[in-house]
Amino acid sequence: LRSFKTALLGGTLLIVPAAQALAQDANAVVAGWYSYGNLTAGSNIFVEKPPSGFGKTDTPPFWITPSTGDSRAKMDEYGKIPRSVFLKELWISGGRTDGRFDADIWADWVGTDFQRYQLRFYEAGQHYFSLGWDQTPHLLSTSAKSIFGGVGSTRLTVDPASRTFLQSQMANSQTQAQRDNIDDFINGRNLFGGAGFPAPIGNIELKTLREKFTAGYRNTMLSDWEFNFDYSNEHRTGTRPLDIGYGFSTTTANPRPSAGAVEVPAPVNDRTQNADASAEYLGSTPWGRFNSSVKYSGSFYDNKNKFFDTDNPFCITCSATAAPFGPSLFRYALDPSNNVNGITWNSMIDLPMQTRYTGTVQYMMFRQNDPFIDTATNGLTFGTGPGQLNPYPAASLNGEVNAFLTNNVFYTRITPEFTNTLRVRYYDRDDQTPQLTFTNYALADGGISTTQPLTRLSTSYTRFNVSDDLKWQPNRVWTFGAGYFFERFTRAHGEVDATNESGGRAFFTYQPYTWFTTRSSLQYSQRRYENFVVSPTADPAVAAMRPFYVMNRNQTKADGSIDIQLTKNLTLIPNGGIRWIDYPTDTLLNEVNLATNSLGVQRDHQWFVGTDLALRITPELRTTFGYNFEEHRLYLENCCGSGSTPFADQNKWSSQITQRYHVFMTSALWNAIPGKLDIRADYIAALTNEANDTIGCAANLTGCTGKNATTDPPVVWPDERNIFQRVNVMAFYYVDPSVVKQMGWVGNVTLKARYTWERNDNSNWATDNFTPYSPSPADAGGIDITNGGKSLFLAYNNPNYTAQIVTLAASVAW
Amino acid sequence: MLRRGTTRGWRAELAATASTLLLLIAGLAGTATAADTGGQDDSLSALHSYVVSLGGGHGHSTGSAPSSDASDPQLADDPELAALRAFAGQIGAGKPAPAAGLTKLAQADNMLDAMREWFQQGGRAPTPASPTRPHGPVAGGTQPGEPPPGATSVGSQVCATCHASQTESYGRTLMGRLGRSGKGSKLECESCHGPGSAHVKAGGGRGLIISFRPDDLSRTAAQNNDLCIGCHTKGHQTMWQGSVHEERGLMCTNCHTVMKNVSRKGQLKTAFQPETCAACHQKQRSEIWRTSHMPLRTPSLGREGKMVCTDCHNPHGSYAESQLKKATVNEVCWTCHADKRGPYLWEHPPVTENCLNCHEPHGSNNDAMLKISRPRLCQQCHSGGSHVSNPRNPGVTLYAQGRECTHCHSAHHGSNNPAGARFMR
Repeated sequence: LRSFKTALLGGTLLIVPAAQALAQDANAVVAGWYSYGNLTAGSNIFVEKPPSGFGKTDTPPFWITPSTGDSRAKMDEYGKIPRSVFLKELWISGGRTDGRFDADIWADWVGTDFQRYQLRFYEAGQHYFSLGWDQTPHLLSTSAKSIFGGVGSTRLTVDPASRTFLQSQMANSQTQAQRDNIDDFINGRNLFGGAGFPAPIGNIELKTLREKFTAGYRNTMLSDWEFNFDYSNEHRTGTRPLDIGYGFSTTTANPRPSAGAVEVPAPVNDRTQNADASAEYLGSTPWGRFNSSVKYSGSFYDNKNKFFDTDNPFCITCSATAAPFGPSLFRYALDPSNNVNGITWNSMIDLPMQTRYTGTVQYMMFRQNDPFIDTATNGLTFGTGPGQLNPYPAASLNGEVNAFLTNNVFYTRITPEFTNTLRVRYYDRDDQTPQLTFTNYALADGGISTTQPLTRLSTSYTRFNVSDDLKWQPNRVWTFGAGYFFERFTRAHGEVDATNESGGRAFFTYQPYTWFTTRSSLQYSQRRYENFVVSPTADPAVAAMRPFYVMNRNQTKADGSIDIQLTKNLTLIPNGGIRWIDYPTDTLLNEVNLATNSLGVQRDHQWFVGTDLALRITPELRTTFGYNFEEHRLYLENCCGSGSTPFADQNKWSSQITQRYHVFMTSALWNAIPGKLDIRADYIAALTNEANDTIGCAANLTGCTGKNATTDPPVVWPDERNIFQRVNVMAFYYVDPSVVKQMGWVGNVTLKARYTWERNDNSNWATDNFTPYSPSPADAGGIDITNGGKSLFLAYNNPNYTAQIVTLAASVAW
Repeated sequence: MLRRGTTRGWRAELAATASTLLLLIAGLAGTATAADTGGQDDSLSALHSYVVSLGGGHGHSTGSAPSSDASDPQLADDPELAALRAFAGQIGAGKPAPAAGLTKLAQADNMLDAMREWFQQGGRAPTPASPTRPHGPVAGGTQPGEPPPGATSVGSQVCATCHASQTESYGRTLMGRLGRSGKGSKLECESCHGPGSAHVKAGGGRGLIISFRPDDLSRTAAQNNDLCIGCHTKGHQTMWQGSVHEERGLMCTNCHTVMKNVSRKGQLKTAFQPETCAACHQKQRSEIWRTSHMPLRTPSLGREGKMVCTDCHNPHGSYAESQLKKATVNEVCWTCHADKRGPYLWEHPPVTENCLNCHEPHGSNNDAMLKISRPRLCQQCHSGGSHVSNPRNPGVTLYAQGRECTHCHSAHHGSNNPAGARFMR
């Protein structure tokens, strides 16, 4: 790749003088053609480069425990920074001066994994064509630990000898020695004097790559008509981390899948094609104009992998029908292929009384009919006898959802100053999928569940909105607005039958002087549900579900900003806002569950404040500053579900999650030598922190304290913190045109030098960012982690890095 | 594609065309200067070039009449051009006095100067801008911001005489090219700026012609926008009237720059679209700097910049909440994440209903852009009963580490596996 890039770049640069000469000769005889463009190329030099491995060192045990070292994955998350020469941009624009043909072509970051090419050619006012090809990577890790063979395929394997050994250490109630043996084995070490078998652990990359081709055509040949066609074809490949829970028992068939978890590199290989085709007509009415368009939209998703199988590392002879019970093979269903087809009709019509109607009618058909996969992967057989899986009620889902939308806007200019906007919207998601019922079904590969049939229920819902806003704009100085809105949301099988939300809003803009503008808005609404349909006494786990998206709430939203130019050289733009949601006490649930407060989210409060500042210190030196602070507080109440009064206050525990975000940005531009040399510097710091303060229940039961034993420490969640910083210092030198001419070139040549320092610092392994490879007592500070000895992870996530990069580049614009 | 030239043979044109295409492919095709001077044979272009030369290619040719000894023979021979040149020569030669009663277009342009005026006026507050108060030369118009009555059209050639650099940069835009193609004959300068004769006779200056400058308070946003909407009333702009941005008094020119290309598409004010939106949406601008985010940041060393705001939103209005481009939040997300579209055999209702129940699309501090960390995310709804109600001490239980609930319930977006009713397969 490097050779290719070097050859491409070198070849391009070498032919510049020759091409320039040719261009001049050609232009001497060419009539009616023009061209201009830009070429930027250069090279990066890493002064400090984070390693590909997990952290300080790529050998155990450092990647087992939370790391303080660096890894390059986060730095290259959305594209691997070129390590040497690069062709950043090639843009050529050309065509005929009479407008009969114009074209633009862009090539960005040629040869990288985030390269992009675009071609646009058209006859303005007639035909517009566009083509594009783009790559977008998403890199999660370059250092994930895996014992699996066949990574990237749909069959992940584990060395049989390893599985045999690990199974020998499994038991319903593992001894500490067994856990230690597993820990030593998995981690390829001999920390506990255990078996010490070196596991075949390898580094793998977790990354997906999207390759997208796009094409578009627009036709405006007829003055009253417009035709559009857009198509995209995106192929996604790679691997992603995916967790699988499993069961294990030497005595009980059909064990609950909670013995442990195995994280695997799941294969990704799918394709999404989206296509739109529309025709639009523009005409006139006695009161103005109208237009009407019809658009077909299609989307086709094809997953090449319907499922994948992976060996259970902890079991080689586990079976659903004989001890030890459990899955020896995980068969995981990947997302099914599906498609959507739909028609959208849009129209705008000028009506009498200075009214414009804008309407949309849309009908979309979502379909999915991939064959069900065979879940009899662990010795189960289909049949009607005891211990057999009942045959599936259908070979596939025949999933069918139809969505109907109508949106209607009446915009009336009552007077030049008063306008009114009335909106009426109705959306109906009609789930017509057959309600299949499964009996004697496989429960996560572990065995046959006969407890109760499972029926697939419809997820239909409707959403009706109506709102009206009245705006008064007496002049350019003042704008006032106020409105009312209402929403009714009904669900076929939700926890509640329907929710109704209504509220009002007001806003204004005030611009009394050219140097002062302020905008502000305020909104308040109340949502109330109708008929909580889940029986509170049926299943405590279900009855206690209090989804925040359907429960009663009072919401206040407000925001405002001021744009003020204090002096000729100083502009300040402070801004702020809140979104305050309170979930009031639910009387119905309280009465049933004997609790003084409802469970679930009680408060969800967010607010932010910030300011932008632009300061021109001298005519040659300009600076900007930006700061934004945001806080989000979420308060939950939960409860363990045991005992006769499961939701009694003494069994409750609470948690307040506080997220704080600071983002600071500053930049300076100095025209050091006007017209010759510019220096630009910028710095950004993004500090984020999530604190989770949990208070256990008064009853001090293990189920509501987070403890396994009363001797365990209280629930303490370490803050999750992330600090991102970047410093850029750039110099732009504009080569004297006479020098450029002497070189035989034409155009503007800019030389660029850049220094970048970038750092990401993240802490808290407890939540997401530092998944340990295999949790063990030693890794948890001596605390005996439940089931830690039966689990295996990829230890893939280390977002820490520091990088220093020097970039030298040249840009030619002609 | 090939058309025989009026003054050159088809072989020459064929050769020239081939050469140009070759150069286009190589990315090194000539120069704009060379092409302009050698490749244009119409009067406007000749005058344009001449004016550019007067101003060094950028400035205004204020008041200087084109000399009669122009080196380009076309300039000397074209009678239309000669008339035009004579007209241009009068510009500035006898600048008319401002109309009686005119005031400055704008008062102090910053607070400090306003305070000075306030003190100088003995403590009388500066009068807020108001259309009821004449605002400079527009006072002579029928409405604020309208050209005065009697103003007539002068044609774009005249405009180009002074506004050479703007004409040049505008000519490179899609609208400029449309004007050149002859398919957009309406796209003269005065199509948007109104009749310019008064402006020309006054020797230029603001007030006698429609201006879109943000500090010109003489016209309302709706008045300015109506000029754009007059043509841009189809497609993505159909729903502008009544949209949030329209309601809040935004002008098209708050986001778009008509006179030159800054962005590759849409003639936006910034090269990278999210920076245009961030001018007002500072909160969202900050959110994309959280560690878990989509590739929305301004490209740095090539990374990021793979998505823009309009991949999901239509700032000109839509038939969905938050000006989304599709009917629901989920339909927007499914454009790229079609694998989550289903319908599944086993649906997870909050997923089916709205991706934003769990995800923060502009950025988050948690894995996969989750709104809060797991297991609390799940416990917002799964708040009691069975094992879901345990607060999960991260120092004690495996299920508080890493991906928590999704260790087992990894198919939480929905499962099509008959064994996946609990989202484990």
